[in-house]
Amino acid sequence: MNIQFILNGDDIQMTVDPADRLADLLKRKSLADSVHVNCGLGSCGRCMVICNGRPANACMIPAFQLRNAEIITYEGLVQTPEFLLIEKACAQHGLELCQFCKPSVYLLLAVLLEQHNRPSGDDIRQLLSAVNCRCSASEDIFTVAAAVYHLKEGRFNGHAGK
Amino acid sequence: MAMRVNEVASPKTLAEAVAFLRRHPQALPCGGCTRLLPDPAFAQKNLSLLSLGWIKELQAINRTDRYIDLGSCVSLNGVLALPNIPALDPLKKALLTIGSASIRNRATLGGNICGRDSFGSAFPALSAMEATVELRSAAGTQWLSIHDLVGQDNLPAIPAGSFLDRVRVPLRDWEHNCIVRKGPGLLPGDTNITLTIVANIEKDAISEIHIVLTGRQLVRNRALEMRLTGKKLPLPAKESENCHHDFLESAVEAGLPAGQAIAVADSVRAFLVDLSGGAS
Amino acid sequence: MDKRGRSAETGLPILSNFRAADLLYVVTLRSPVARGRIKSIHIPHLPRGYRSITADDIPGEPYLEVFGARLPVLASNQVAYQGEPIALLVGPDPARLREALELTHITVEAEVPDFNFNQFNSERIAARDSRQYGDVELAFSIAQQVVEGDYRAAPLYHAAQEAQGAAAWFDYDKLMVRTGCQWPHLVHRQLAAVLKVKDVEVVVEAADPGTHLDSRLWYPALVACHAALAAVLCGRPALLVLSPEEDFLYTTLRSPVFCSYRAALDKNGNFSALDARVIINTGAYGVLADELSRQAISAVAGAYAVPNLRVQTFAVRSNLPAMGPLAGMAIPQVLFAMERLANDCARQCELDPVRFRAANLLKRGVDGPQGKRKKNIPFSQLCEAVCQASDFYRKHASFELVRKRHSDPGSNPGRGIGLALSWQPPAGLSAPANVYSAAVEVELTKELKIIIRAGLVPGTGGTVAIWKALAAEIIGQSPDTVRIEPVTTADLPDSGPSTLSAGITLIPQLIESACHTIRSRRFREALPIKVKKSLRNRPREAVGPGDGCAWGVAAVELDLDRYTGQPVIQGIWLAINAGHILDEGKARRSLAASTALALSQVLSERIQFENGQVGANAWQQYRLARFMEIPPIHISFCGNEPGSPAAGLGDLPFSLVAPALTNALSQARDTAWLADFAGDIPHGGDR
Repeated sequence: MNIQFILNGDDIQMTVDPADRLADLLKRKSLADSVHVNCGLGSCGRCMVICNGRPANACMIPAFQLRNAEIITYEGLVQTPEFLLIEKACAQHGLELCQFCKPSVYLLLAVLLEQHNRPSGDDIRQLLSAVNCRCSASEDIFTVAAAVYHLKEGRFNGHAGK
Repeated sequence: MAMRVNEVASPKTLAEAVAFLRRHPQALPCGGCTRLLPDPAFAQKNLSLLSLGWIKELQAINRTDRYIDLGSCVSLNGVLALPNIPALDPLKKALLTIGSASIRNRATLGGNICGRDSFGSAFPALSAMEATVELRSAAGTQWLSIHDLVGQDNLPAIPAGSFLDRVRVPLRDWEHNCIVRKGPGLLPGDTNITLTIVANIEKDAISEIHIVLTGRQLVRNRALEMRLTGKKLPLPAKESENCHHDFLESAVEAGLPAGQAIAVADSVRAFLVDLSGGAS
Repeated sequence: MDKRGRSAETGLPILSNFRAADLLYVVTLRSPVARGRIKSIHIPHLPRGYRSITADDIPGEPYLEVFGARLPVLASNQVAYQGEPIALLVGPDPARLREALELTHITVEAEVPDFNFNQFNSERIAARDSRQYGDVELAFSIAQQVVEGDYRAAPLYHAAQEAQGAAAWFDYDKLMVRTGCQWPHLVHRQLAAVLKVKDVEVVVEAADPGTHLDSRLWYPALVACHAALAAVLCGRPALLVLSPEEDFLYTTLRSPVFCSYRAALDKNGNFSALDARVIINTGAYGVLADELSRQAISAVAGAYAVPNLRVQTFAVRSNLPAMGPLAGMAIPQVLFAMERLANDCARQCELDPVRFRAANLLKRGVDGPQGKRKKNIPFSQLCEAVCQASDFYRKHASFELVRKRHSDPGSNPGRGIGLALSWQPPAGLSAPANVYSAAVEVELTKELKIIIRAGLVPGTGGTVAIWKALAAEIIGQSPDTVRIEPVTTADLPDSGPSTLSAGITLIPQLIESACHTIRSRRFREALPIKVKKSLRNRPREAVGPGDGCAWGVAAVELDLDRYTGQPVIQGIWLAINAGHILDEGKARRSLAASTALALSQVLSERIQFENGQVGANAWQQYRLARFMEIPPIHISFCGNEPGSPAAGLGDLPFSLVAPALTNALSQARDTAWLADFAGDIPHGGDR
């Protein structure tokens, strides 16, 4: 079948098997090296993408549901100001993620930034538990998550970088 | 193992979906596909799929004074994001036991209810909350108790040629409720079970109690519920023990492994002890 | 990631991102039974551009020689475990290869497999060891109390971020092989032998092994041989990446260990004798049997003084896939048993577990199984830190009171707090045959960039950051100017395996030395200046808790959930003495991450077994603990003195968390032996 979707702002058209999964498509066609196909069960979260504004496991998105979807991967996030905020918060708190976990954790942090209301501690824990990060401690990531939101508020209030 | 999809339809209206199902009665309706994709039972099968995610009506949420209607393609996070409605507490607690936040963004309520060979975690909660469901087929729509989705073999059974339209949950508060999910796996089945208990108390007596256990099979001992209803609190220790025994028997009879059956019966007893005010 | 697809932190590429023109994919045809004789293999007709590879196609040695074991690259006659590679299918389209795999039929004359390792005959013993001193029988005959227990450490999956695999391609006259491994030179040696080529004709490049937990010690050699065979026989680049399920089912699990202990106690509650039998299931072929057996015997008495000792260890082959060490080389499994025994002995003597441990500890100047100790074990210092932070004494006493007084024998007291003491040995393997030199080359370029080429695969980004900071500080540059070059076998001599924190204990010494040399030559010589340093890693015996070890004490507090009966961890406290800590913040973060992994192993990572082997749906049932389930982890460091040598600490949580948690659980459940637990609680690694 032919599908069309938006990947990091680019229109993508391709012919696929309906049972193909987004994670495999991105990997096979070299569209996003940051997406790691690990468990294939929607469990590990290392194939995280933002699908229509919400975090989703790319291994759980069949090709036939991709039609007209808007997908953002880590490669897309890198080009945004949110990425810089996250990088800054990580550097401030000494969080060093491995290259397998970093893209997914960053995407989830970016989703937090998009929320209108300040996320509660439980919201942060729930959301970030979507990645089974094996390289860093949960508390460190939660701290960075809170700091990212704080930086965003600072930016809106004109205190960025202070 | 990858599944094989012969044909997939993604209708935009209910009428188109019904028309497709009429032509392909064996087609499998699907929502977010989070249960379909990892399930080895579907690997290697040649499937015809009816993807319902594009139909707006199935994503609607409507609320009246007495009930709330949840479209079958409302995501689990969509339900969890509903403003604070105490009546939905047991359902929300059950949904939080499912997968991760990113999975719950895609997984739908309908997909969780309409498992083919085992019950999802939302089922016992909805069953205990006395939800009803609307099924749609070429013949029209019909409202059923959620219990009518349990087939003769005590497995979920959606009639061929029909799909779940919406779920109606009575807006009735359950003062006391607990959800217990046991088992490590991602998929419901032999090793994963969910127990839901909801109860209300009036004038120091149990006014209503529902106890539903699901996994591969559904376990509900209505005689036990009837016996408990109207009982004065605190329950005598002997009564809790009898309930433990009765529920254990029902669970074993339904084919639950002995270890799991004992564990859930223990949970029932703990709930009754808490209800009696014995909990710290 | 940089433009070459390598991590900006570690300089290592990700294997699955390997791309090449005309790339061929490789899939593995596996044995359907756990033991038997292959009668026939029927492979369907493959289209042009596809081919199969069997043992007959191997140009060189058809076996791998790893850690004292000899295992076939592709089984040709006898199969020793279910899923053992029999043949490879190679072609340009992975989907068609999978279809061909499904149509392939293997006929095997099945034989009765051996999965049980509690009972075994002498033919199945891959290694054995024993140690005895004093008069054990006499000590038991006059003992005030005798405490017995059987403790089991279940197999665990080394859940890394990427499944195992390898890529192979030609670079002019050299065969390049990329694999996520801990010991590139081991892979290199095997490749040269299997392909029957000269050493210089093959170069192994390390890919990022992720959080490997020692799963990449030897298995990458097997998949590297498969990918290389495909590349050599087809003359095109080849990529083999196992599916996650294959990785789970057929690569290495942590060796299950069964420990049977009998302890004699005198009237003061001190050990007077210990009689122990340790059986290690090495799976098929007995890989690492000697090493695991040696390490296990060195750890069998824990950190305790035992005047009379009799211990036997057996490493036993079975028809499970060949096992791996998982962080700690069998020491965590044996220490788990000893720490459980210490707890049960303390309870039997009605002593609090801290007092019991302190009274029985190995002392300075006293002869023990590890020789004469030069230093005291820093137990009291560590214990004080943990006990104060966790309020251990008060909690333990009050939970103990509840345990003793609770009236309903059918219920649980419900709360518990447990303690454990452990150590991590210095980096390197104990087998005397393993002689290698850790090597580092540091270059200061004309552009004032610092390039580090280390012979060891760096464990984590944190390790690399420490290397960078160290080099930058000594040479007087910014850490941004330091680059870590990928590890290949062409550049540097064999530096041994990257295990037991070797990246922290060995490499920084060499970087420091090389950078000091560069600094002294910097303004006297023209750039670039290149300095190479190496450190001979002398073969050593496994000596147990020697003077160079890192030490740790942990306390875990838990409640039992009233409805599920599952333990809910309330807190976890660790105190660590690992000599000089190079970067306390990084060490703390690394320990917290390892502690979370260790908790996940105990609480969640159950592997479902059916009829003695991993069940068909075990992969779907396997789960890791999520962040939400991990409680706050409190870590304190003791004895962090600059000038003292750095000891590795990354593996300590794997031997601390399981015994501390199960000691707490035994108090919460009022059960002496955790092995008595029935059903699915707790469903973790250690029982």
